[in-house]
Amino acid sequence: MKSPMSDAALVAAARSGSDTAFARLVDRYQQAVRSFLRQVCGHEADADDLAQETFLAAWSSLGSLKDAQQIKSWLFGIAWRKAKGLGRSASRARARDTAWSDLQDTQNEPKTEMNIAMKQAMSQLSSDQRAAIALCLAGGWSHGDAAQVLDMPLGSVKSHVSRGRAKLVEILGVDDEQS
Amino acid sequence: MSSPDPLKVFFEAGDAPASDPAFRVSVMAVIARQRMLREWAERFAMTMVLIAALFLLKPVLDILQTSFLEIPYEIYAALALVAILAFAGQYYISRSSRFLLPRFFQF
Repeated sequence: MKSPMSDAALVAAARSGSDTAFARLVDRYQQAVRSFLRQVCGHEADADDLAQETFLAAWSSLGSLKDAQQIKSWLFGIAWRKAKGLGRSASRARARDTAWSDLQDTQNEPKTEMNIAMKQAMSQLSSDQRAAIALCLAGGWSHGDAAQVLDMPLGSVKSHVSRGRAKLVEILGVDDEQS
Repeated sequence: MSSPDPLKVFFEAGDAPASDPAFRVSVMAVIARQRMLREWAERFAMTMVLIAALFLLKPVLDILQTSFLEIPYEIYAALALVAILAFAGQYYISRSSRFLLPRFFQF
């Protein structure tokens, strides 16, 4: 059986102009990046648009990636900066069409009750808390790696995760043996 | 052994699909469009540079033009024949004419 190409090999091929290699990188990381952005944005269409922009930005600046093995954290860093930018620019537009998009969501996208409950609970947190939670709890990242991706002090990430988690547990009403 | 995080199942409910060819295709289409725009921008810039260079060299070209007019046309015909033979020979060897154009003007 053919072993999958390493990230470094795919990055090297993509840098030399291979679209196939870049498409494989997109396949490899699309789920992680889109899931992270969905947790942070709370709106799947916006999150997928941002994910597309993230991969486009990655393609444009692939030459600036120093360590090809770090491509995952590099992509998440780009995604987080895009999400922060969207948060600033889209807040006005969001206020205008929230009612419409919410209606579209419930009509067009079959979602489990858990997903809807989690989205509502996440919307009660700050964007920094959502990002820290999405990385550390949903994505299984270490606090240190998350701090690096989010460009935050380690203590802030730990605090965001701890407080955000407590709030989610309270809102969702789950049995929590960990706290 | 620690028990799994009860929130994990809530997060997983909102995950993007593990495989989504439609998303990959949309990303690659945006990249292809971006690449085309860049190439057109490069060609436009190169064309502008060439026009500017020709404009700056106009006095020299004028002098060359007047001096070339004094050369008998047989010389031009011989040069053209040599050029055509050179192009044809090169094409025969490489089976490609792409090298004849600078990269910016290749389609």
